[in-house]
Amino acid sequence: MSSFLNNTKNALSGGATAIKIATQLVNVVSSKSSRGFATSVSGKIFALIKFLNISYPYDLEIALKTWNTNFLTLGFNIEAPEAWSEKVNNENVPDIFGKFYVSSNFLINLWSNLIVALSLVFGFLILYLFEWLSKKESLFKFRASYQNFLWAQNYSLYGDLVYYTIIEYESIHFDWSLSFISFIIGVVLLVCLFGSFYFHLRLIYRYQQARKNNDPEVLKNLVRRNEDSSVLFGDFKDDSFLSNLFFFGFS
Amino acid sequence: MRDFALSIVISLLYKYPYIQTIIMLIFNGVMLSYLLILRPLIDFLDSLHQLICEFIVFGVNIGVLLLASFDENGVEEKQNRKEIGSFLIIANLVFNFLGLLVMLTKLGIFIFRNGKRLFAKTKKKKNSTRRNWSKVVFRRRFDEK
Repeated sequence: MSSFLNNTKNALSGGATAIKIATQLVNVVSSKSSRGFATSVSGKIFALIKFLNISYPYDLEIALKTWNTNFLTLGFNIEAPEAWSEKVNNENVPDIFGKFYVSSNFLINLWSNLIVALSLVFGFLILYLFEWLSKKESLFKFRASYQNFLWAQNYSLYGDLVYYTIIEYESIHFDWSLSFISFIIGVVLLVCLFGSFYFHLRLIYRYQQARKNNDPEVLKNLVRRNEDSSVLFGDFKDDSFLSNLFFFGFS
Repeated sequence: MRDFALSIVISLLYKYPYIQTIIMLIFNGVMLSYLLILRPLIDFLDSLHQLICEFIVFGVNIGVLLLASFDENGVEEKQNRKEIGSFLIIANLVFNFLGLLVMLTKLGIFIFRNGKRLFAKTKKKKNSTRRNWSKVVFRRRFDEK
């Protein structure tokens, strides 16, 4: 058994780089659909187990260092300014997180993700502006698919957002202005997160109400009005509230 | 929601790894039951992919739970730990390969289903170019006469 596992592991490890590229490719393609996105989130478990305080065997310990939770930035890492990292007090960060260079500052931890997310939101605002000015149907279609992509990307950020916010609240030092800014940004983003949860649940509730009332016209209008958020309720069976909640539950 | 809940468990209960692994296994069990009972996805291939992924994650959770229980009971079990470690590494590789395989299968199905139509369109275009070309040739000849 042991030799079989080792041989398989060695055979597969040979293509490690290819797998890394393949993973990134799959992430790029799948993030546009809610179904592929759900499998990406399932795969986050591989990156999260490194934060469990367990004695792992040496091989696994090495492998865990390369498994990242982040798939919004597609593996590219944008470092936060070095001066920030030097000023931050990481004394209170629990050892199990400190071992993997997790900072006590929310902004430093989430810097790469935030930069990418902000660029995506900026792109969305520009598209929205163009659509509003031109009022063209083709631009609406493009903006709607971009917005669905943005929904999926935002949901991929929520886990890290909660994780790093909690670490910051556990180990915060208000002795530097950036800590305060970071705290405020964390709170604002958490409010946005709960706001989007409320929007999602309300949308599915309204969809189910319209379906139960057996009024195809109302349902048609609802789907048409929310075409730009169809990633949240499309693709799944709509025979019950629970099955329609797939994206909410699996993200 | 799962990612959200997992992050809370990881960041708040870091002093109790054994409890963390049990909670993670419960989450996984709930998700598996949800997929098996409600079958929320319309596409069969997507359902199958999601189900296989959840089973892989289930295996990973069991592996991690075993490691945590070794620690909890103060058992060394070097060989077993090594085997579980190898299993987790293979599970990660298979998980990633599977995503790529599903994507390629979908691409293959798309080409198989729409290939004839796409091919017919290309053929039609080629024919239409020939027709246009012949028209041009015919017109030239006609004009010369």
